[in-house]
Amino acid sequence: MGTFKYERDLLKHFIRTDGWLPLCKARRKKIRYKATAKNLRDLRYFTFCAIGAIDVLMLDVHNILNPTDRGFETVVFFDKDKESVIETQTRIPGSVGFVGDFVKLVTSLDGDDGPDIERVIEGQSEGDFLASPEAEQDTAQVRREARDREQLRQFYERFPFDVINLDLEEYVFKPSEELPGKLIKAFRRILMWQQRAVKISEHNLKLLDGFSLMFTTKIGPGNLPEDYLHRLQTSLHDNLQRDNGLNAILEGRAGTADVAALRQTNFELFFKLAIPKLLAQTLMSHDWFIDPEKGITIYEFERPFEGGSYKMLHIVLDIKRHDPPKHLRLDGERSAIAAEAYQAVIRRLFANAEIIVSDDRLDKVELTASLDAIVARGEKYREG
Amino acid sequence: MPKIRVHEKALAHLSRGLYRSPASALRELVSNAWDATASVVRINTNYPNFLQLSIQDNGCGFTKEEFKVLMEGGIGNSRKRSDGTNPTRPVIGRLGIGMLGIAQICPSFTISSVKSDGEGFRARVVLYDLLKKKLDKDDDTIVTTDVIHIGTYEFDKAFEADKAKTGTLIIGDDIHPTFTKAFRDSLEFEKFEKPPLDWAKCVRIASNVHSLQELGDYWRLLWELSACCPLPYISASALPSELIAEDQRRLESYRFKVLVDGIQLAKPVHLKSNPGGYTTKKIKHHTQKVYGNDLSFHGYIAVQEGLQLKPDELRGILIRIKDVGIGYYDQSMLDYRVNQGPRSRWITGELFVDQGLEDALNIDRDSFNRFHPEFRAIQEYVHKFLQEKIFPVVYEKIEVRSAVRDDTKAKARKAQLARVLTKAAAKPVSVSYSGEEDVRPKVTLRGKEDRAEVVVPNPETLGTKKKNQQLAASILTIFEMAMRERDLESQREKFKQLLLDLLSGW
Repeated sequence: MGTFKYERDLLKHFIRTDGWLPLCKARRKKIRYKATAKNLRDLRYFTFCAIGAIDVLMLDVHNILNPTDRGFETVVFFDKDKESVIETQTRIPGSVGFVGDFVKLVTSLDGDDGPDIERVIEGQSEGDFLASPEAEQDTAQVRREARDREQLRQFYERFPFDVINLDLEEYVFKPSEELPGKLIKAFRRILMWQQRAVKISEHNLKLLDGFSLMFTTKIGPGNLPEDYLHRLQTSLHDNLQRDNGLNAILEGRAGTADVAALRQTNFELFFKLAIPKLLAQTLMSHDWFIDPEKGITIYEFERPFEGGSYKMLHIVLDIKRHDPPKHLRLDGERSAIAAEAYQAVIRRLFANAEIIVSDDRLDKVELTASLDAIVARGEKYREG
Repeated sequence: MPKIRVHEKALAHLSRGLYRSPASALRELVSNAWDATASVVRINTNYPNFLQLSIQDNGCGFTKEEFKVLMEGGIGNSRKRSDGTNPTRPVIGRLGIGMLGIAQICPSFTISSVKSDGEGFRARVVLYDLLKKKLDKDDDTIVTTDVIHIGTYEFDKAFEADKAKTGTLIIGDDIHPTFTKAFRDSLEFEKFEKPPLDWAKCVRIASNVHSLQELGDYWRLLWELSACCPLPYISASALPSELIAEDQRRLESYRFKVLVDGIQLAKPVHLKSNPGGYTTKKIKHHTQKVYGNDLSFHGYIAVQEGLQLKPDELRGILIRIKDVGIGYYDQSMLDYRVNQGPRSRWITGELFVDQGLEDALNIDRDSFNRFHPEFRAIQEYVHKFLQEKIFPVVYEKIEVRSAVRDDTKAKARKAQLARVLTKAAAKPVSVSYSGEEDVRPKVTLRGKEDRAEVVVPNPETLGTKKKNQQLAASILTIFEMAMRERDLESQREKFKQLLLDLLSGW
């Protein structure tokens, strides 16, 4: 993506302040609501914050994250290279940094997929990954495998999070990958891990009632294979079949209620409906659902790139756990509240247009001042 | 005359394990950063995952050519850098040794370095898995006629140096799982606490444990680095009696910071609030000639009176050459020959060697050849100093403290006897010792209605060991008290009750 300066990008910062900040503020309020001294805990935040850690520091500036004298203990982040992880930790000391390809790491055991995968990750079935092996030689390959398994275990143990910021800045689907794509597989995996209990103290474990999700993707790519497109089309079509009211809504918004036609004539809108729908559906199947009161908020903006441009979608969601949760329901029993909420959310998705973020929407002075304060906070931590 | 050569295999063996702890290897890299005029060194252990390790400085960096020379035969050879050294700082490192050291934890690493003119390079260094048996067998993949290859390096042609990022960055690419496991396991230790970002708070935590082992390897790394790097103390008053005020001014003037995972380190010494106080002596600047060479040093010894130092790693004497700690606090006090029992656990001290002693350093730069004449000269000086200036004062203070303690104890026991007698007599009893030298037990109850007085035999006149005298006098007293009962049975019962009451508070 060339030399684009994400961190000083005011369009992106508008989304941080308009979409992410209120969502995180509300989440913090929820976890602190009626919390006693015994139950009080800080917001658990997972992000792909990049070197400047702008989102983390924004939450710090606004007192949503409260670093202790041990730093940002409840912040976990991921970056592709070691240098970036090192640099990021200078700005958010005390945070927990993971290095490598997030999707690859999370799905690395997918070959062993099964009910016991978490047992494998925890080392229950194979023991301590870092223990010196009895038979193998001390080679770079053996050491690398041990570290990879350990990194997966350590990442898994950090779950669950109150806020997940999947600001991946890439395509959800890659034409080279088999359906449903590795990112969606990783997404499913982390939704499972979100079911873990928060350890507030040694004997005080608590399941999350919900969490907040920020999901970023590029619109496209234009060369998506037919199997992907067909899957998305069928999925939307199913909604139209189940809820007749949706046909009129879609016709009003797109000029057609035919999803196949929409795909051909207005791919962008097709994509903007299909991806959030996919997220909502994936959440449902993992015992989560989108809070119908807030629904799905979508921001869109365009970025120049190599003589052309590309469009980004930032999807902001407030998520609740099915009630009663899966382990308290009978086999095959559905959560009526969740099913009703799902229906309402899909209606809102079809009805509401995305927020287009462009220069004329921005208060540049205010956003610049906000960014300056955030960057200064990072520099202060960096100085030690 | 034929020359004697050391086979390079010996060096290969050395490269397999130079240092006893990760901190020693990192200290060498910190020393290199210091020599490169860096003002900040950042070490990142990837806490709490410990899956990577890096050290970054903002010094003057070095060129691709310099690196090439270093890799192809220059490791440990060059003491002085060709440029960029700071005239206000002494040169302390030996280029490349630290890189070999880090290989113990991490057999391959990436190094990037950028000079202030923007010239820079990045290279990946991979050290072979040099197994001892492989070396001994003269494996022809690594041993040729007289050369040993210990690894390879390759420049990254795609590297674009950023002029704004002057300095050197070394990132471990292949952290050994044993290192990760040791550090990770220590997070589960019963006494482990996550280190606060404020180092002064860390030092307080470390001073609450007997040994750093209780806190684990991560704390040990922090503590050892803070002890050995050329850093200031937490404050000029970190030690009593302005012992280090002058050294603190010098150390602060270097403007050199080392941060580990965001924690800015300072020396881990902070002595204050000991109830028994401190005995402190400065070792004033001392200079002498040893085989024609100048040896010059100064320092201090501090004794925490009557209380073991915590953590244990703080006790002993640490020798610093040009402000860099060599090894850690030497608990044998440079092989001090007189057994001082528990008193040796009260002593901490530092010797700053301003000139000399470098020839006495072993190749690990972490320990000394203890038979080197310059080491022996320091040893002799320190032992004499301990013998003549420290321990006599310590013993004197012990006597004073013993006298005070004995007096307090005697008063408390007298009060205990009074309490027992008061209970027995059912009215307030005051106890006094007889001035007479009569050893016969004699208890007198001179009764007024509302109070009584008991005169106890003078303990010092009783023919028993000193430590038993007060107890003997008290037992004789309660015996007399019991004898006041009417019949034998009552007397026996009364004596038993009084004895048990007495002993319960003794």
